[in-house]
Amino acid sequence: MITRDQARSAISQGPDAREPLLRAPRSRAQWFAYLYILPAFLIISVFHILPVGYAVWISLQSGVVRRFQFTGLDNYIRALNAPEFWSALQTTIFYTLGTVPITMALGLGIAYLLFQKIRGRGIYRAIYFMPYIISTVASAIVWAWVFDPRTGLANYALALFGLPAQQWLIEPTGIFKLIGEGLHFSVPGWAEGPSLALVGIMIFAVWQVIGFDIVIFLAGLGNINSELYEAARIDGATGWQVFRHITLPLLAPTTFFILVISLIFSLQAFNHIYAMNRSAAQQLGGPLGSTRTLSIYMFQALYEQNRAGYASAIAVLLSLMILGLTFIQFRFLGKRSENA
Amino acid sequence: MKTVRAFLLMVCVGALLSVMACAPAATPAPPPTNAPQPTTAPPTSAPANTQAPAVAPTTAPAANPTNPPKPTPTPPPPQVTAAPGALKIQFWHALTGASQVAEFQKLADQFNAANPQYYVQPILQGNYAATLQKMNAAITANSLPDMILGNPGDLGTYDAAGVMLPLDDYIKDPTDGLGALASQIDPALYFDTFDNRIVGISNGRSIQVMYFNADMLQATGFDKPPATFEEFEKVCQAVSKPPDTYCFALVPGASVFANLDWNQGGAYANADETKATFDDAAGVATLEWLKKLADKQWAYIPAAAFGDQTDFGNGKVAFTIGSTAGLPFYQNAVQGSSKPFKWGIAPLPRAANGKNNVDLFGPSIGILQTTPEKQKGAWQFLKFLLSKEVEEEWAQVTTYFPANRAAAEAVGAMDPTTVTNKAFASVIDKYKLAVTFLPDGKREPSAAAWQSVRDIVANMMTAVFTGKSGADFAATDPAGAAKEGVERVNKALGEFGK
Repeated sequence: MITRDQARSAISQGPDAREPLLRAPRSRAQWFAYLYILPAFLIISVFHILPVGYAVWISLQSGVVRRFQFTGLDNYIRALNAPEFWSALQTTIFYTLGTVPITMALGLGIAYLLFQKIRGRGIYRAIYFMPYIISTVASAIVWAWVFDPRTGLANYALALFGLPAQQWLIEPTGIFKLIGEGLHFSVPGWAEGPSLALVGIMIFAVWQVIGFDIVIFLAGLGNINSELYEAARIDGATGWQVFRHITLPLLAPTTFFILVISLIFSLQAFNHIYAMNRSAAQQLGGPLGSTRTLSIYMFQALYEQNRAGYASAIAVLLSLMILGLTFIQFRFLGKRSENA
Repeated sequence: MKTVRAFLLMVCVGALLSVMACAPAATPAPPPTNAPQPTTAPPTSAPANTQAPAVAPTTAPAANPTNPPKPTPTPPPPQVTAAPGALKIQFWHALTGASQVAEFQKLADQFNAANPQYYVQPILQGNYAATLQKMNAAITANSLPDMILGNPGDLGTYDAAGVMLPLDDYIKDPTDGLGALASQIDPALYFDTFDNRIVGISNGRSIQVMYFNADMLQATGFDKPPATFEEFEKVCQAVSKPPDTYCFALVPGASVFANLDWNQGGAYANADETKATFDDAAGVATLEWLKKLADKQWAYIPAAAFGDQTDFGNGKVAFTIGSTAGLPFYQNAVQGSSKPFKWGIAPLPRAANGKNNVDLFGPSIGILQTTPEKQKGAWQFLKFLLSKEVEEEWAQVTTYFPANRAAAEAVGAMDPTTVTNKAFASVIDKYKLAVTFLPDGKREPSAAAWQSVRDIVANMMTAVFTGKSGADFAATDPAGAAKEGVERVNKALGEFGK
């Protein structure tokens, strides 16, 4: 009988360095093991690995579908020299910075509140999770109504505070420039920030994804040994000290997981941007390209400009960025979260 | 402490629920407003020397305002099943209207019943953009349908991939060609030619027109729609009372710009349609005109899909621009409002010394390279769709103008009291009027690449109209934007498919 510690130790040590990475199955049990992973391996190969390989191959071609010509790295060079690519990358970064930290901070705060022993917390948890399970397109259309400049709830709320009505999803001007105009000071072009249209989309994204973060944080909170809290309180720790020195460090693996997943999702954002653009009678990525993320840019290159090779090159570049960021996170944050 | 936490949670949940529960209810179509009262400004008559076409604004029926005719009156008929051994012909289309789907299925059933060796299956693929996406995937996967309905530019995209069947030989075939039908169809308007090969034929086109609120115009002293840009401005000056009532709801788009550019005397594109040319005087004048409408607060850009139709129906705007395919929808919007009014259609305004141009658009049908048998069956069905009787029926469901001249004349001569399609009967007077605009019909460049630059043109209009620049457009002055627009369009045309 193998104990849990022995198993953990075996897993952490990994395979023997002297053994070859791939070797023929020696026993009946090993044959069965390979048989069991075969379906998953086939599915992943056909639907993930092969398409990725095909996309990389297409990214080295130019021309319309069925009439490709090999052009090497031309598409990559063109993309990296295109102002539209860098503009889309900037929008993607704005979107990521405007959604991931806010969603995580709010998600943690609400999860912490929901973790307390309060009446009806099961209902609260269900309500917060609800936006995450509602169809993205349907809720994006509803939010486009919320942001309607003439009849929407957003401007009604601003009016309650005596603030001027905004154009929201059809406003290409940067948020900091708009604030500056309201406060009568000028903001330089480089500091305009994301367009108000993009901010509107970010608000929707935070509303939608926060439920997922809350659920994961709640699971993480549930794994913290309650004796630690009791010991801290006996030692006279304040609520903030308990949160800062017990909850946060012990939540590090959960926080790390959410950070990795959220970054990947935000860099791939597409559906709700598409739906909100269309609902606000805008061109895709509009107004004036101010909500065009890399995913939208890639979509337009393929479906509007019929540039399969170029679109694939953007897809590969985006994937490399996500891969790089994920690697950096694992390299610098993964260890810390494990130690915690 | 617990009470405070519970309170905080309740506040958060309250805010969340407010958004979820109130949003749809808080954002209905703009509330109907009363028709604007006559202004104190002296009524202005349109100059007598203008050539505005005679327009017959209809009186909104008051007899039964709660039961307006719907554009989707026909339930789908039972489908004919395939005869044993029948050759299946898949027809992908983008006709999303329920009445159009039902009618198209009905026509396929008729054809299948009369030609049991074939079984045509119309398959809705979503709107035109969705159909284009699915076709691109189908081309990549080599899993093609047999027939396709799409924008002419989309057919050009498929043709560039080498999957479209050139129809020239089929049309000219002495035994199975178009025959007498050929003389009934204007090839310049209804055939789509790429690389000197016909790859698409339209069974119906629509035109771009200006919708106007006749009551609003009359209340401010105008008894007919403006024919020129100057007259349009005079009407705008009289009817605009922002933020309640505007003169014009502008939906930026390439078709609107191209039509206005033509009406300013511009060409929009060069003769061989390889380059945009709207940075000339006419193009700049078009943008200056739009900027003037914005600066004077006579026009606005709707912030919701179909917002122009909704606002028009609610009497909040005097003019919109749209396709004649939308006639039944405008009729519904007006009749569905609390205060129906008289409305009409007219060509878009033109320069005082210029001529009218009417943008002619609409989908075309193409046949894909499959097997000779399937191609033959698809050709038979296409000919069936172009026949006089079918075209007459199709025109009533779609308000398209038939490619078949005999059918067009027959529909144009229909007596409104005998038309069985109620939706069509309610707009037949305007349909007939639109027929008189057809001699001024003109087509935008139809090459595939032009489909990809439509957003650039729309962005150019938005930048000038709003005076705001963005990632896609730096210039906001008319001359600068026209120059930047042409540069961007020509660059995109050069990059298309590369």
